[in-house]
Amino acid sequence: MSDMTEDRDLTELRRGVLGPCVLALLEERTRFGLELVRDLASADSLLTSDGTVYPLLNRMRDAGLVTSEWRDELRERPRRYYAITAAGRRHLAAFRAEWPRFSATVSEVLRSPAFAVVSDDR
Amino acid sequence: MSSVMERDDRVRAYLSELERELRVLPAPQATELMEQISAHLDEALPRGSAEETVAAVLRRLGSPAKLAAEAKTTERLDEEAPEIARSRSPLRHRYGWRGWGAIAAGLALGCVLTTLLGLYIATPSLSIGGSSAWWYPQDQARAVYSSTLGAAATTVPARRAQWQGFVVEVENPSSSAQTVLGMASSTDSPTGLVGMANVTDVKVGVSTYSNYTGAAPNFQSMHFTTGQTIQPGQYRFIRVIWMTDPCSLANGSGLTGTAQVNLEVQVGWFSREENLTLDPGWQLSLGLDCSG
Repeated sequence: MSDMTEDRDLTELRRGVLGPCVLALLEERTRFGLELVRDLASADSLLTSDGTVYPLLNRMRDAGLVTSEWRDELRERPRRYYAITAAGRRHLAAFRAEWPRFSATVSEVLRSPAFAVVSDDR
Repeated sequence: MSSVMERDDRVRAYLSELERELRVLPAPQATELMEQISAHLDEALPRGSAEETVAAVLRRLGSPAKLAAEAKTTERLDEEAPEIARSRSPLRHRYGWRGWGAIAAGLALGCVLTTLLGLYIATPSLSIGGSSAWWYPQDQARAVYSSTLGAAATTVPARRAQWQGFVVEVENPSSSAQTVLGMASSTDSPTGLVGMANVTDVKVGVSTYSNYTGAAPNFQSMHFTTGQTIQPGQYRFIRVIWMTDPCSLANGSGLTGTAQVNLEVQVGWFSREENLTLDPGWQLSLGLDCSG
């Protein structure tokens, strides 16, 4: 597998799991943009670039999974806070229910000798 | 440590490049993303941040091209359905009686267009309602209202290289649906904000919020997009935002503002310029130190 393909696979993988991770953080409490980015970045290798979180947040807002609002709170600059919606909680619950089985299946396939042979043949 | 000016230059260069890259997106999405990234940089880079910190924050954000590509990936998902629909219904060219049919349809269309043109000319423009506010909370907090010789205005300090703007209520008093397509640009008023200098990238959006019930509106919870249609008798809110650059004035002081916004509005099958008088007017005080 070439480095480029490898990078693309990892990028797609991160893109797929980032949304549920955002929802999990927002389930805990509302967060503003930079706070959310920093919390995600603190999880090793989850984010390749901070900026990509914002298009994701907008897509999730359009899908009704999160809401956002600006709050002033007497600071020099206002902050845009994001919160999970009821639909977002249902989406997260469904992902949480599926993830252990899915990740276990993938781990099992990756460990299998048959998969290693196929991989080496490429 | 770098100076504030050096930091601003790097950040501004990044934002300029990002804005160029985001031109592939519809304006509302591009504007929203610019706001988010600007807020991210404001928050992550307090004044006096070290050059290394600035570089690290910009590096972690990712290149403008990558960010635009990510946003475009999201956008493309929304575009796929209409593309498929268009590919399945191409305009077919036919000969014979079908050609004559097309000519007859064209003549009928001409009659309809003439009728619509008459309606279009007689249709009253959108009008400004009573509810309005500065869009950004920090401007709301600093707004000063004044009334001199019957001319009311609300004034806030210009914020250098920042987005500023206002929200005003509009009514469609006509019996035709009207769709706000964008700002109307003319030689006298290239931005569509008549009399307002030192601003660029003026964008207008219309709220998806429908009839106004009279309760205090929560502007921040509304979603604004271009191309929104305001049905006859309906109230909506329009948001006009711009990038403020008071330092392009040689003296760097004084006031600039507008009491008229020019919009490109579609009425029926035609679009036209509508001039909406604003009361109060919206002003920026330019007393900024641009030397730093």
